[in-house]
Amino acid sequence: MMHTDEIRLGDALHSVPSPPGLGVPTDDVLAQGKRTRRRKTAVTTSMTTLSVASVAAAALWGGQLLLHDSGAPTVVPAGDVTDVEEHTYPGVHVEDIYDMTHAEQMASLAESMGLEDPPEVDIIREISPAEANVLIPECLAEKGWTAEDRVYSIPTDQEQAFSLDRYSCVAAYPVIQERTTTE
Amino acid sequence: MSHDAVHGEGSDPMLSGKAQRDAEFTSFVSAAMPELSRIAWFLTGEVHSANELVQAALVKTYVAWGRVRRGEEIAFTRRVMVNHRTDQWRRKRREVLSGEPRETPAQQSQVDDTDVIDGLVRALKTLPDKQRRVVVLRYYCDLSEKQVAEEMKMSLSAVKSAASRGLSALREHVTEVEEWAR
Repeated sequence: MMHTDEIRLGDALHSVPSPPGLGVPTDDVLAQGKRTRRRKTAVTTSMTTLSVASVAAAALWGGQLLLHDSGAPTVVPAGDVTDVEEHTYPGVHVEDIYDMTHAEQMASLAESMGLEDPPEVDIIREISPAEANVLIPECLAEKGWTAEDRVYSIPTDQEQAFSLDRYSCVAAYPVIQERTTTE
Repeated sequence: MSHDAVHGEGSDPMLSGKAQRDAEFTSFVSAAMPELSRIAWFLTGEVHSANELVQAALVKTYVAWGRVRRGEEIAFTRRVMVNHRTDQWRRKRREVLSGEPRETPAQQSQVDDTDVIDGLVRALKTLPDKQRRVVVLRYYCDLSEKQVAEEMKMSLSAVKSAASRGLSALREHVTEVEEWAR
């Protein structure tokens, strides 16, 4: 009986005619897709040109920052930002971070950190990448983790604890793109 | 070509990478628009909102196109739509909880010009948001309960429960559609 009802509902949903006006012109979709892609490319470019705020935001998300001898910050171990992004977030590109919900971001971050049971964290407020450069290190400092020249030197046996604290700080301060857009 | 192939492989040498990508995407959109639009319509219950939802999902699909596996384009876009819809629902709930003005109810589409369509789609719209998504994925998209559970990150029992309640709520409208279709 139930099975029949399921089939009937499926058939009914399929037989309902689509209303006029439903659907979007393909050209409109393509045009907006190109605009969005250009905007994302611009953001990525700002990251690859080592905008401190942007790189810090990406790095605090899961990368590790080191300083070259020149003093310019970069992300290790790969030589360019994109490779590190892929390395840091398995299956996820950093360019997608801003397409994700906060919950999805946190799930990706937990996965990249190997946290099987990440803590529930109350959001304090949404911040810009520039604010992340300040607030997230402050948050970590409150938990006892301090960086020297942007490098967190973590004893191997404390990596898990550091990951948990970093997860908590990032979760409390979701980084959003909108406040830094230059368009 | 393996099943896992992604877009861009086996491309037309006469087209540049971007042109090839755009050509593939355009072809996909043209073919999938009716199906995706209907899913969006059932999820939102309103034409304008459905069009916004499908456009937002397709834009994200375009940006991710190089990583979308062949044969999974519709499923990928559908997942984006469902997730996007979930986000909208959460944002709306936060606004309500924070005391901000409640969004005005969507205008009933003038194109829903039969009582039958009104009945089923309006009934669908009255279901709780998560229940509605389960019903659409389960009964319109023909996903198994397990697939719905995976896609919506719900337990199997929660999916079964939501599907059953949704089915009960829509039963009388199904009969109306059947009579109308005869």
